[in-house]
Parts: sequence; C-alpha cells; structure tokens
Amino acid sequence: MQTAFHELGHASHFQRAGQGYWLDFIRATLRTHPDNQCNGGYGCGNNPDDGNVQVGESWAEFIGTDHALRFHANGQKTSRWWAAAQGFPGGTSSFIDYQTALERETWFFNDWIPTGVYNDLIDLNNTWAPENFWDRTGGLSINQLYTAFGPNVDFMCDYQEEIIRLYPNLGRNNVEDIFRIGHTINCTF
Amino acid sequence: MKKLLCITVISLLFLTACEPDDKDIFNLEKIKIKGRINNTSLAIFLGDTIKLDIRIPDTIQSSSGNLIVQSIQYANFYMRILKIDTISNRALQPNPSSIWTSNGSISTTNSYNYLFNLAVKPYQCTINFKPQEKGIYYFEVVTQPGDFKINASFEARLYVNFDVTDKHLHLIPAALGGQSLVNAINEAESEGFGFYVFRVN
Repeated sequence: MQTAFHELGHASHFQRAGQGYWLDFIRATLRTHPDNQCNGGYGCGNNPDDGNVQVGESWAEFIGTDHALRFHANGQKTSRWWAAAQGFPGGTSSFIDYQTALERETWFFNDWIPTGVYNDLIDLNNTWAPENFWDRTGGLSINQLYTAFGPNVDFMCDYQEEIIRLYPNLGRNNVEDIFRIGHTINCTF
Repeated sequence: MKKLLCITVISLLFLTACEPDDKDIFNLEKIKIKGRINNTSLAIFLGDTIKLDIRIPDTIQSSSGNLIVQSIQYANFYMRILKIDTISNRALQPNPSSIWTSNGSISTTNSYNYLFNLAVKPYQCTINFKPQEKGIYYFEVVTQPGDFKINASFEARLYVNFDVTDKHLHLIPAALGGQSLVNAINEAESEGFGFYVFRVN
C-alpha cells in the first residue's frame, strides 16, 4: 500500500514540477541505475540533477507513508526498520506509529534523501524529545507543502526558500533549523 | 510521438527507479560498539579538543559465532554534534572547521554520516571537535543504524554508543524536554545509540 501511494506522490509532484524538471529527474535516476552505484537508481547525492532526486524521492516517500498510515485504522504500519532498531531478530517486522514512521524510519540508504522534513513542517508537538532542539515550528498542511513545489525547485534548498517565502510566519530560523540541523540540508547562499 | 515518448520515459522511471529498494538489509544482525572520549570531564576548556575514537574490534560476535575481522567493505554511523543555545533553547551547528576526522572521513552528502577508515588495522573512526565558543554541547548518535559489512560476506547494522558512565544529561535545560528527553535518551541507549553532553568553559 505504501508503494502505491509513493508512486502517486511522484505523480502529484509531476503536476507541479512539469516535464523539464522530470527529464532531469529521469536523467539523474538512470545515471546510477544500471551499475547499481550508490544504492542504485537514486543518484549519488553529488551528481548533476541529483537535487531533483532528493526533492522528488523525499516527497514521494513522505506521501506514501502518510497515506498508508491513514489507510490503516490504527495508525500504525509494519516496519522491518523499526524491528531492527528495537533489536528484534532479523527479518521480523514490528508496528511503527505515525510520527516515528514519518520522521525516523529510513527506507533510502542514500543518506542525502530527507524523508522526515515534511512532517516536521506539519507537526506542532515533538514525540521524540531530542527534536526539541531544532523543531520548534509547524502547522502547514500537505496542500501548503505541495504548493511550494514548482519547475525551479530543483534542490531542497530551493524548497526551503519557497517555504520561507510562502509562509513567513514560520520564521526563517525555525525553518532553517529543521532543514539544517534536523535533516542535514545546509543551504549557504 | 512526443507524447508517446514522454509516457514511455515516465513509465520507465516509475517502473524501475521509484520504489525504494531495501535489499532486505533490515534482515541483518545488530552489532553494537562503543567509542572512547579522551576527556570525559563535565567541563573542558576553550582551546581543548575533544576526541571520540571508535574502533571495530578484531572479533565480531554474531549469532552464528565469533567472526575474525579480516577486511571491511563499509562501516559508517550517524552522529550530530550540536551546541545548545540556552537563551533561545535551540540547537546550533558549530563551525564545520571545528569538526574533523583523523581516521576515517565525513560523508560528502550528509555531514552527520561518519565513515570508518578501512585501509589499515585497527579499523577506526576518530572524530575531533575543537569548540570555538563556550557553552553546552552534545553528541547524539542519530537513531538510525549504520551500515556494516566485513569479510566480503557478513553484513550487519551498526549501533554506536559512548564508553562513558556519566553522560552529564543534567546539563540539558529543562525547557528542552526535561524527563521526556531523558526517557527518549534512555530508550535510544537501550537500543544501542549514544548521547553525551559536556560544557565548554
């Protein structure tokens, strides 16, 4: 179920980003896919157009997980990642709650795809206390997050700037802390 | 034709690249190691360098028995080094020039991802931090297991903690979480991830 919503997340992003963006996205994807470089198919994080992968895949993963959790009545989904983090035997799964799945579960082994940044812009309370150091804002809707995408939002730093421009009440420092400290997206202009 | 080409290319992308591929990596064992901090005092002084040294042991205990480490294909883990601003109650990133590795390296795509030196034994990662300002700082091993593969065959997930008894958690301002923060840190500790706080005078 998560996978289906993940792909629909790509489709929604395409509506905002357009064909030009998507060709760059495809180019970056194919560059590493045939030889399985850098955990294959998602760029390496420092190739041309890898920013498109960073933006596109992080959004799709967020949409996929968010909607999969809505579909399940108890708001939990199974996760082998969480099972591993809890020390359960290899191959088993355990249930993971909404906040943990959206912010701490990691599917991508490409360490530069920040799947958790979107929920940090939504949630107003931190369930994982160490976030208190850098997540002090939120309140955006998924539609508001979606509105910030466009043909020229090629990097997460472009996205950060769009979020700050569209929603100045969040505060530049607060948004930058989520991106830079929470998700290692260091935007130096 | 143009439309057909677009549809074909987009379909190719969706079919081949978009689905996250976990490669069954979470079927792996959990390997816990502890790093040493050169100065575990509550407070160090401006100008001091605090050094975290983590070594891969010569023998790894796996569920199938002890494995002698002959080679390492990859070993990494994630850690934040942050300063606590006690006025605004926010975390601040130290100047990147104040953090460097003398064994291993920092990922070029994620500044929290530290890579072990795999060229020579002992396989280790040594992180140096020379604070440029007074204040309260902390190391937080991010609750995301690292990747680990040895002898070209054995893969595991790597959990890094600190070989320190007193982690000085009381230095953290109550406004940043109080007991709920301590609970979260204890939970991470029980999983194998580390948290360490110190002051710079």
